[in-house]
Amino acid sequence: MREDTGRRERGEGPSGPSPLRSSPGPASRRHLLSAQRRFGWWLLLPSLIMLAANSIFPLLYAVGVSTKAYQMLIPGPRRFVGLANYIQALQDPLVWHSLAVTLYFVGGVLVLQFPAGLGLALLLHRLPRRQELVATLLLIPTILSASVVGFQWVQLYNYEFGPLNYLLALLHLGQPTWTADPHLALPALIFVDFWEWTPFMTLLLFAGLRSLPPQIVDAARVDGSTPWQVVWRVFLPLLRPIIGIALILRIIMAFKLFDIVYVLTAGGPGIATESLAFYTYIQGFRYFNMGYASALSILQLILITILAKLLLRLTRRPPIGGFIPQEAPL
Amino acid sequence: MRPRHGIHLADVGSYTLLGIALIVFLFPVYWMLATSLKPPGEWLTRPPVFWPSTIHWENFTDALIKWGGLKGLRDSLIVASLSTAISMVVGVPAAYSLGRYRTGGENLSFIILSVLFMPPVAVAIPMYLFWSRLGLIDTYTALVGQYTVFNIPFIAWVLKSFFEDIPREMEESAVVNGATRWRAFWEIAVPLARPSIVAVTLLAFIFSWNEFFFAVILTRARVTTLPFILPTLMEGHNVLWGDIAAIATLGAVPVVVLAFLLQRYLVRGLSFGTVRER
Amino acid sequence: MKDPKSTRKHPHADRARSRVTRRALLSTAAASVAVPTLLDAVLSGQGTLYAATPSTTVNIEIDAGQNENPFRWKASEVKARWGFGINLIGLPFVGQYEKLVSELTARSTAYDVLVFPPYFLGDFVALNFLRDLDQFKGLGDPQLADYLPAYRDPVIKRNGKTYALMYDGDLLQVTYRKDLFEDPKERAAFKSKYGHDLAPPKTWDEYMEIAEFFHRPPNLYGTAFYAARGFCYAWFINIFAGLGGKWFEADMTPGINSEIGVRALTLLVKMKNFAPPNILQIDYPGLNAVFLNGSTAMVVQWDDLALKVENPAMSKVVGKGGYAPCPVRSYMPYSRVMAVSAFSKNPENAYRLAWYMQLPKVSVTYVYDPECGEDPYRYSHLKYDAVKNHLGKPTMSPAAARNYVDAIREGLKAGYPELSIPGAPRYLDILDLYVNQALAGALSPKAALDAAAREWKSITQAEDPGRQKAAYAAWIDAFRKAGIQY
Repeated sequence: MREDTGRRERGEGPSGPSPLRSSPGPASRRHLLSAQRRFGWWLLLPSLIMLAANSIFPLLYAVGVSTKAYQMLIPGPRRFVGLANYIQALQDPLVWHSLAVTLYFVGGVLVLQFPAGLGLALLLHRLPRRQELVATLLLIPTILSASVVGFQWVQLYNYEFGPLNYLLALLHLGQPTWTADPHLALPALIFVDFWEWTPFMTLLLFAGLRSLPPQIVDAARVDGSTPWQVVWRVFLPLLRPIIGIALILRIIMAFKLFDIVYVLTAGGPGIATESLAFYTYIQGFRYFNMGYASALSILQLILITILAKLLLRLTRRPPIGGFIPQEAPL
Repeated sequence: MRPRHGIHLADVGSYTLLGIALIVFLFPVYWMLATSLKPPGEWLTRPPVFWPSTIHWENFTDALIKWGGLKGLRDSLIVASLSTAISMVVGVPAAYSLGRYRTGGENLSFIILSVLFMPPVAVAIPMYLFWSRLGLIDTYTALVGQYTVFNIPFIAWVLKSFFEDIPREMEESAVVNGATRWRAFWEIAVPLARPSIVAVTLLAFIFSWNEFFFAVILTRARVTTLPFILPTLMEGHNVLWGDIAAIATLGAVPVVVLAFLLQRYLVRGLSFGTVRER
Repeated sequence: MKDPKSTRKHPHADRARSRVTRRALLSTAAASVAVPTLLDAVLSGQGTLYAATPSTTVNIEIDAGQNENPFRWKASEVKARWGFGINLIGLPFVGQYEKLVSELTARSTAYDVLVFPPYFLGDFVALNFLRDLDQFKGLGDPQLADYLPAYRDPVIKRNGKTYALMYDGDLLQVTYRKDLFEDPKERAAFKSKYGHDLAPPKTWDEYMEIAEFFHRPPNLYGTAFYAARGFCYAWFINIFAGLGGKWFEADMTPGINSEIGVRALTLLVKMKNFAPPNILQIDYPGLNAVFLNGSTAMVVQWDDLALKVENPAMSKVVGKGGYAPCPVRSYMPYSRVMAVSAFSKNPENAYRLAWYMQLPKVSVTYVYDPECGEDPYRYSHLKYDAVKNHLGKPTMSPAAARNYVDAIREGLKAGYPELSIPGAPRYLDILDLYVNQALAGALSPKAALDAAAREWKSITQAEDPGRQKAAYAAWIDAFRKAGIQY
């Protein structure tokens, strides 16, 4: 059982300075430290090279193009226009609308997928056996390609021939037009995403639950707390790190909402499901307004970065007065 | 939390809820399988056909041959395997470095993660120009390269936490006894983290296998991964639901089978404190 | 406290090991580039750099699916005649424009023959993506005199030069349930309600009357149309044209938000009341489906619906289809033309292929075949006994064939051209977006059209107003010369 009161001192192990991090003697200590640091960087180097080549380049390109009046289909020199594209973006009502659509979607994802994922994880945890089998069965939606999921749901949501409306008709519950209904289209998409990704959330949370030391759980139960309190006061704080990972990954993906819009609604009806990523796609790949699309992309990048930073900070703080056997800081 | 003796109401409730969840999450999958076997007359009917009257194998033979599903399987396999292998080889040491040595601190690991933040559209245009200048459009190299770039941050960032989780003592004692850091990493940390590595690799493979956007943009005819084939079946004239479902099934089966074979790793690999439990 | 001697041993070993590490990592990096490259070379047999197509194969870009079939059907004849084979590269229908533009901008040599809708033509010619076909006339005379005027100069020529040859002549057409229209009870009821006989509509008001009359949900819907995002604008333009609307004024002021435009869009929005409830979901296949399954009395759809109606494998209403031109004018959206890429390494064979496919005796074998999407565009196609599939089997009863061919002929006399000046895809896509918003109820017709017009003005500005004016004037001129009223 290891105790940790948060950030460890650099180089400290449980039995004093770790040979991996330090050694006696100032000169050799520095030498080994830097040798170790060098090792760390060597391990990282190939990744950094590959990432730099394939992500710094597009980033710089996008930033560069975003400052030009660049329409690929109109021949002629590309004028430098500074921040004009950005200003246009901020004044474009379609941009704000698509931002609202995206945020609504991300919010829906959060509000639905996290509790559902947690609930399912808890249910799985209660199963006496075959937990992994059920978890993997549930995971099949996630394993399917987003485009496959999209196509299947086009059929399922079909007004006349889809099994969903058939079922609703049997239950005398009315026949919504789903993706044809301006008010239902976005919730319909949220549900598709819910269907596809909640199992992923469930898997992560379930894995986290399984890793909790039984002693704590039993201690809490003996304590007399209700199951609800056990979940709220004990599980959630202990699961913070894995919750953080799950939420960040999901929110990054949800923010880039594109695949299911492309397949199911093409942004319609009207612009009801035109997400920011989809609108950027149209500007960039239908109208070939490269400058404008790049500016939009940079703006999204900034937004997601802020969101991610926020989330990281929220899920990193250790709980107040909590006893954490081994917190894995992100 | 094991249920106590006897059947409690709470247990019945749990089983029911799980049952409902299974139905909700698996019915569309069943529908896809059923559609792939239905003859064309049964694709769009009211009431819907839940159980195919005959097995219309043409959907599959068409999918495999006419629509290039066989080639699609091969291409998807090549691209997904290569990109996953490369990103694993490169990403696992990176994760170790980030987790164990905190190389670059918080900022570097965030920057690596932020590669995933860029909207696909923004990346698509410059990357299309990039690969096309190199004459690599419609080649395996381009797709493999592109997917590797997405897999590395995912692998590195998620595995980082799991490497941090492993107790240092074993690596420390190894170094004390004369091992190099590389051996400490390769022969101690990696085996300990194996379930996590397997789980994350599987997830990365799934993401590469299913990727759609760049598959469409960077390829044309010589390289056709499965997700790329799907939109070509939604012609302007007829939507071939059975064939689409057949291709979808073809695309799903390998990965689902893989997931089931590795199911134990999935859960164990994503848990913290795996080592402690031994 | 560590033994100093042992730590001193480590640095050497470490340095040696880290050299190994370095080597290992570098070789991994090298391998990760080399392996896919080699694999690529081995598997594709052509190396990673795209080799020029040998002249024994012509590469055809086309939207994937049924439209590829005519090429397949004729491949062996082509090979026998000239010795080259064909390679069909099918692009997804949605996204074809994007892909073509990306590739042609990058000067890709992957395509020889390009098949696309002529509203791309303005942009493609302006961007120098296409070869002028007049230079190849020596290889084969396309017999353009046989082209129906609506499909000739306005569609395939720019600045006096020929840039494309026809492949598929699209036209919107009224397809209605003849059995319902001829039923005496229905006729009597209609006459007493509206004061005139039940017949294919000659004005849009008549169309609305008929739609209202037959709207008896949930078993029968009065009408249906393409209301989903993507092409709903075409159904608006269809009405707009019938009411006398023009795309632009001579000075490039948009005509869509004129009083005629608002009236047209209001009519279209009103049409929703006589359509299935999921009308906003209905696209091309959906529109076919609601007629073919017998649930709708009358639709405006592309003219190839007729071939499907009369095909027992596809239709529940065989023999019950009636065909008529759209009220006043029939819009001609989409269509397909064949062009030769400016970057093709095989232009002569590409031309030969395109020329062959559109020869009267060759094209007539597939413009009436339900298994491809191609429709008539030549005078020589408009013969009743030409309504056969590519194997020579008639695809309609003689009476239906007569009705169908007559409807096309009448419709084309008053055909309304699809915008095809530079920037057309953008103008049309914007219009589609706003029409769809009006249909979805998010904007009033006037607000929607005004917004669209505003954006049209900025597109014109960006494109160079002078050049647009000239292009538009030339295009209109070609139509007037072809005898089309505009």
